[in-house]
Amino acid sequence: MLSIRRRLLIQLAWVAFVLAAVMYILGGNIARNTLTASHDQLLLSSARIISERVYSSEAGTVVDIPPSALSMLAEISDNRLLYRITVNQTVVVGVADLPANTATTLESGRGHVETARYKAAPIRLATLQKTVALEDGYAIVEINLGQPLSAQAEIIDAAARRTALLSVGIFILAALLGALAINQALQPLRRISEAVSRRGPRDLRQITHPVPKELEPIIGAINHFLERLSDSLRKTETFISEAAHHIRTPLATMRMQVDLAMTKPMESETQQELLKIKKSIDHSSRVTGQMLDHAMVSYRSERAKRKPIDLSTIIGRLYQSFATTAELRDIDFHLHCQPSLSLRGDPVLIETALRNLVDNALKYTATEGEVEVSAVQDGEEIVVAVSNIGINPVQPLQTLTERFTRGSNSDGVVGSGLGLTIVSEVAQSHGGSLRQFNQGEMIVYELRFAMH
Amino acid sequence: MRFLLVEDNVELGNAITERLGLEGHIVDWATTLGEANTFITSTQYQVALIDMTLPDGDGKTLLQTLRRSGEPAQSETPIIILTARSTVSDRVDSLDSGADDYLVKPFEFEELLARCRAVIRRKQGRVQNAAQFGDLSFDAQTASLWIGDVPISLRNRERRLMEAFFDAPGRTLSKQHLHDRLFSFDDDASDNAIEVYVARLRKKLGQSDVTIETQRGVGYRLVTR
Repeated sequence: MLSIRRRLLIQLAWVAFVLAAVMYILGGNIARNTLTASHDQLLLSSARIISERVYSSEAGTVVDIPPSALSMLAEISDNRLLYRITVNQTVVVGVADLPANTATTLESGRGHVETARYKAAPIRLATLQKTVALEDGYAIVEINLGQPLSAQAEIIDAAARRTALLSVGIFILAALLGALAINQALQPLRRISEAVSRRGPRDLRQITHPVPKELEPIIGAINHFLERLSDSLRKTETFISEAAHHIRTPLATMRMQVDLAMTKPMESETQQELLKIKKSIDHSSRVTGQMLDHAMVSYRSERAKRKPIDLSTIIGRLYQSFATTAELRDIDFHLHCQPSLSLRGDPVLIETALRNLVDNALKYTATEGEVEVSAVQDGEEIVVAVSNIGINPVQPLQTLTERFTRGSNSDGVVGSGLGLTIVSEVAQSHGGSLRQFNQGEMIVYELRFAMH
Repeated sequence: MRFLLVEDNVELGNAITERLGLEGHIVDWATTLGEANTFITSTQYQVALIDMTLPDGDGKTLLQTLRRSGEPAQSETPIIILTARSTVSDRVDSLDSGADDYLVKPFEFEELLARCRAVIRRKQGRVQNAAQFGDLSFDAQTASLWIGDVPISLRNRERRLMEAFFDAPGRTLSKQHLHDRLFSFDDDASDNAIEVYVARLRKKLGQSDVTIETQRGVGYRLVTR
C-alpha cells in the first residue's frame, strides 16, 4: 500500500497541475480577449478618424486619410492594412473586394468589428457607417478597416509562452510547498514510529508522545492493545510460576513416597522399579525448573534492567546453597572468589546463569569428584569459571547450548538439556561470553563479563 | 530431634512425617499458619520446615513471628523453607526474611536431612548432647566429631560410618552391615569400598585414643587403645 506521504504528494501534485493548467488556459484567454478588444478599439478609432475626413471638393468626394490614423495600427504589426471607403455604396478609395459587413443593421457613428476572411486568410474587420453632410446632400459613408489576424497571433503566442512559463513555475512552487507541508504534517507520525521502533520487542510501555487530535484514536487503540498484550504476558509469567508450583508439589509427594517405600523390605525387582520412578521424578523436576528458568531468562533479558551487582556476595550465597548437595555426594567443592567484585547487570539473570553452571558441574561430576568455582578480575573483565572433572570427554559447546540438547556424557544423569542454553543466553544479554575448554583433566566453563 | 513441619499438602506432609519418624525423629505437623502458631507457643523445636504457600497465608509471616519472638529458644530455631517456586527472587526473598536455608520441591530425603544437620551445626556450634567414647565426642544430629576439643570434619560417608560405630561402640559390625549403612540401593559400590572408608576414618582419628579395629573375616569395631 502507498504511504500516506506519497499519496498526499501525488494528490497535491495533481491539484497543482490542474490549477496550473486552468491558469494557463484562462491566462491565454484573457490575453487574447484583451488584445482583441484593444485591437478592435484601435481599428474603430482609426475608422472614426478617417470618417471625419470625408468631405466634398471640386473633384467630388474626397477622403483625406491622415497618417496618424494608421500609424497606431502599424504599431501592432507591419502587416499590411486593408481599407475601403464607400460613399452611398460606391467605392471611393481602397480595396474593392474587401468582404462586406455581415451585420444587418448598423447605427450611424457606431462601429462593428468582426472576423472575416480575405484571400483565405482571417482578418479582423472594422466597419463604421456615418451619415455625412456633403454638398449634394447627405450621404452614407462606410469605412472598412481590416488587419490580418496573424498580427494578433504573434502577440498572443508571446503572451501564451509567458503564461506557460509562469504556470510551470507555479506548479513547481506549489508542489514544493505541498511536499514541505506534508512533511511538517507527518512529523508527529514519524516521531511516534521512531520512538516505537527504538523499543525492544518486550518493551510494552504505553505511547505517551503528544500527538495531534486526529491521531489520538489510533494511539488510544494501540495503547489499549499494548495494555492487553502486557497483561497477557504478565498472566503467562504468573501461569508459568503457578504451573511450576502445581507440578512440583505432587512431584515432591511422589518423591517422598518412593523414598519411604524404599525403606521397606521388598523384592529386588520392585526396588529396581522404584529406582526408575525416582529417576523419572528427578528428571521431571529438573526440566520444570530449567524451563521456568529459561522462560524467565527470555523474558528478563529483553527488559534490560541493569544495576550494579555485588557478584562476590551472589557467588558466596550460591556456594553455600550448593555445599550441602556437594557434601552429600562427597564431592570436593571449592570456592576461590576475589572479594567485592561488581558488575552491571540483572542480578536475577546472573544468579540464574551461575546456579545452572554450578548445578551442571555437580551433576556431571562423579561421587568423590572435584568441582571448583572461581571468580577473578582480569583487566576490565570479570571471569567466573566453574570447573569439574567430567564423567566423559567434552562436547562442542555450540551443540550443548542448543535447546534440549544433552551431552553424550549424560547417560544415567538426570538433565533437561536447557542448562547451558540458559547460561549462554544470559551471557549474550549482558554482552559477555561463555567458553568451554580443558585444563588438565578438568573441564572448565568460563563466563566473561565486562565490568562496566 | 523434634521437627516442626508446616505443610498444607496432606500426602506430602504424611510422607515427610513418616519418613522422619523412621529415622527416630518426632514431627509436629501443622497444615495451617494458625496451627503452626499454636505449636510454636507450646514447644521448642530443633528445626522448623516451613512451606511458603499455605491456605491461610504466607509462610513468611510464620518466619517473622518466630524470628521476632522474645524467647531466644524460639527466635533461634533453625528454619528451612520448603518451596515449589524455584526462581532466584523467591529464594533470596526467603533468605532475607530470616530463613537459614531453602529446599526446592521435590527434594531427596537425604538432602533434607543433610540440610537440617548443616543449619543446626551453624546455629548451635558446640553441642551439649554428644555421645562420648574415649576422647571422642560425636553428635549424630549435626554429624560433628571432636577429638577432645578439636573438631574433625567428616564427609558424608565417613559420617555415616561413624554413626554406625557410635550406635554400637565396642561391638563388632559385619562388613555387610556397614555396607548397608553406607550405601543406598542405587549406589554402585565396589567390594573394597568399606576398607577404603575405614582407612580414611582411621587416618582422621590419628591423634585420638580411639581406633577402628579389624576383626579378620568378621568385621570392624570401635575400640580405645
